[in-house]
Amino acid sequence: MSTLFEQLGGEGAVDAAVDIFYRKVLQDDRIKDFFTDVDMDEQINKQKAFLTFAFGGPNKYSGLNMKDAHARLVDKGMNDSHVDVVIELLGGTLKELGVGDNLIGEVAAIAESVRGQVLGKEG
Amino acid sequence: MGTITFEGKEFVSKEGETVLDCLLRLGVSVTNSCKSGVCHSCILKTTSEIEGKSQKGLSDSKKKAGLFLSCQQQVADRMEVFSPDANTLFIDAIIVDQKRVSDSVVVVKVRPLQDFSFTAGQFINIVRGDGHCRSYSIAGRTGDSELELHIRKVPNGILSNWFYDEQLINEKIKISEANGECSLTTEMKGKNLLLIGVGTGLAPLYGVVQDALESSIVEKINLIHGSFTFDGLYYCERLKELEQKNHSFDYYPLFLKGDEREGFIKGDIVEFVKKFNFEASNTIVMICGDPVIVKSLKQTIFLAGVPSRSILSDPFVSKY
Ligand SMILES: Cc1cc2nc3c(=O)[nH]c(=O)nc-3n(C[C@H](O)[C@H](O)[C@H](O)COP(=O)(O)OP(=O)(O)OC[C@H]3O[C@@H](n4cnc5c(N)ncnc54)[C@H](O)[C@@H]3O)c2cc1C
Ligand code: HEM
Ligand code: FES
Repeated sequence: MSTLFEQLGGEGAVDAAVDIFYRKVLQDDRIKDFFTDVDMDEQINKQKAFLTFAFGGPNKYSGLNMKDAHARLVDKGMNDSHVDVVIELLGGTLKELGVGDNLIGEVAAIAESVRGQVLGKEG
Repeated sequence: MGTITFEGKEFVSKEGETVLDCLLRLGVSVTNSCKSGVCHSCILKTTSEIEGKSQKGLSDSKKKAGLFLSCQQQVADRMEVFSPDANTLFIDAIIVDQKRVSDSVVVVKVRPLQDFSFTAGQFINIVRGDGHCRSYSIAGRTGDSELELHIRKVPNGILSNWFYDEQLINEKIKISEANGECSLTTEMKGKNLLLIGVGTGLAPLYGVVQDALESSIVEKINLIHGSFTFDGLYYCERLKELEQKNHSFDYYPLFLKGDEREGFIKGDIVEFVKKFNFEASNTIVMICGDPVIVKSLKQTIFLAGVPSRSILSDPFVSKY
C-alpha cells in the first residue's frame, strides 16, 4: 500500500497545491488578515510545510512546534472558526486538482488532528 | 548565550544575538549592509555547525568552504569563526564616470580592475575606503566592461549622498561579486516579461531589457517604471526611443505627484499593476526597488494569477 502522501503525488502535488491554496487564503476575507503582512517567499515556504504535513508527508513538525508556530496568531484572535476555513480551503484546493473525496477526507482528518495544538489548547 | 572564538579572541554573545551583531557590539569591524540575508556582504567563515538559512543563496563551493552570512546566524553554544580571505570576496575597482540625471539620481560608472563577471540584473556590494558597504544594481548588459549604476540620494544617506555630491572620478573602491534573482535564464525562452521598477529599481531592469532585446530569448517585454514625481522618471527619453525601435518592447512611465503630463501616466503603481492587462500564466515578472512597494506588488501580481516561482524580486532593503 502506498502512503497518502504518495497517492496524492508527493512533493509535486505540494508544489501544485501551494499556489492555489495560498491564493485562496489571501482572497478570503475571513482569514486573509492573518497572512498579508508576511513576505510572500517566506509565506510560500510555510504553506509548503503546512501542505506537506496535511498530506501526511515527511513532517518536521511535532505538536509543540505546531503550537509555537501559531501562538502569535492565537493572540491575534485565531479560533475554531478560522481552522474550519483553512480546512475548507484545503478541500477546495484539492478538488480543483482533481483529487477524490476519499483522499480529501483523509487530508482533512490530518489537519483536524492538530486543531487543539494549533489553537494552543493541547501541549 | 554562546561564545565565539574569532581571530584568537573570545566574544560572549547575548541571548538570540547574531554573529554579526555580537562582533560589532564588541568592537570588531565586519563588513555588512542589509542585515537581512540579501546582500551577502557580511560573509564569514566557520568550522562549526550552522543553520540552513545562514547559507541560503550561497554557491555550493562557498557552503563547502564553511562560508556563511553572519547576519543570519545566531551564536550557537561555541563557534569557531574566521575572516574569509577578503581578496576572494572583494576586488579593486575605480570610478570612471559620474553624471547627475535628475535632482536625486546620479549615474555612476565603475571599472573593475580584476577579473569580474555578471549577468544583467544582478547587483554588487560597494565598499568605500572607510569600510561603509552598500548594494547597488548593475544597469548594463551582460559582459559590459564598465558597470553602470543608478544611485538615488536618500535623506541623510551616507553612501548615496557621497555618490551624488562629491567628485568621484578616479576614486578607488572595492566591489563584491555579483548576485541577485532578477536575471534572464534559458528557461524563460518563449515567455513574456513584465518588469516593474520603483525609483532606481529601474537599474537592474534596464540591463535586463537590453539583454532581452539583444538575445530575443523572450517574446513580449513590458516595463513599468514608477516614481514619486515626474522628475524621478530619469531615462524616459532613451526608453521611449527604445520602445519606438522595438515592437516587442512597451514602456509605461508612471508618477504619483504633480501635474499631468502628456505621454506619462499619473497614478499609484500598485493600482496600475492591478488593472494591467497581461498573460499571467506565461509571464515572468521581475520587481525591484523600495521593499515596501515590492512586497505589495508581489502579492498583487500573484493574485493576478502568476505562479509564485515566476515572480522574481530584488527589494532594495536597507538596515535602518
Ligand atoms: C540588492 C540591493 C540592490 C540595491 N540596488 C540599488 C540601486 O541600484 N540603486 C540605489 O539607489 N539603491 C540601491 N539599493 C539601496 C542601497 O544599497 C542603499 O540602501 C541606499 O543607497 C541608501 O544608502 P545610504 O548609505 O545612502 O543610506 P544609509 O546611510 O544606509 O541610510 C541613512 C538614512 O537614509 C534612510 N534611507 C535608507 N534608504 C532609504 C530609502 N530608500 N528611502 C528613504 N530613506 C532611506 C535611512 O532610514 C537612514 O535614516 C539596493 C539595495 C539592495 C539590498
Ligand atoms: C488546520 C491545521 C493547521 C496546520 C496543520 C497548520 C500548519 C502550519 C505549519 C506547518 C506552519 C509553518 C510553521 C513554520 O515553518 O514556522 C504554519 C504557519 C502558519 N500558519 Fe498554520 N496550520 C494550521 C491552521 C492555521 C490557521 C487556522 C491559520 C490562520 C487562520 C494559520 C495561519 C498560519 C500562519 C499565518 C503561519 C505563518 C506564521 C508566521 O510566519 O509567523 N494556520 N501552519
Ligand atoms: S546579507 Fe548579511 S548584511 Fe546583508
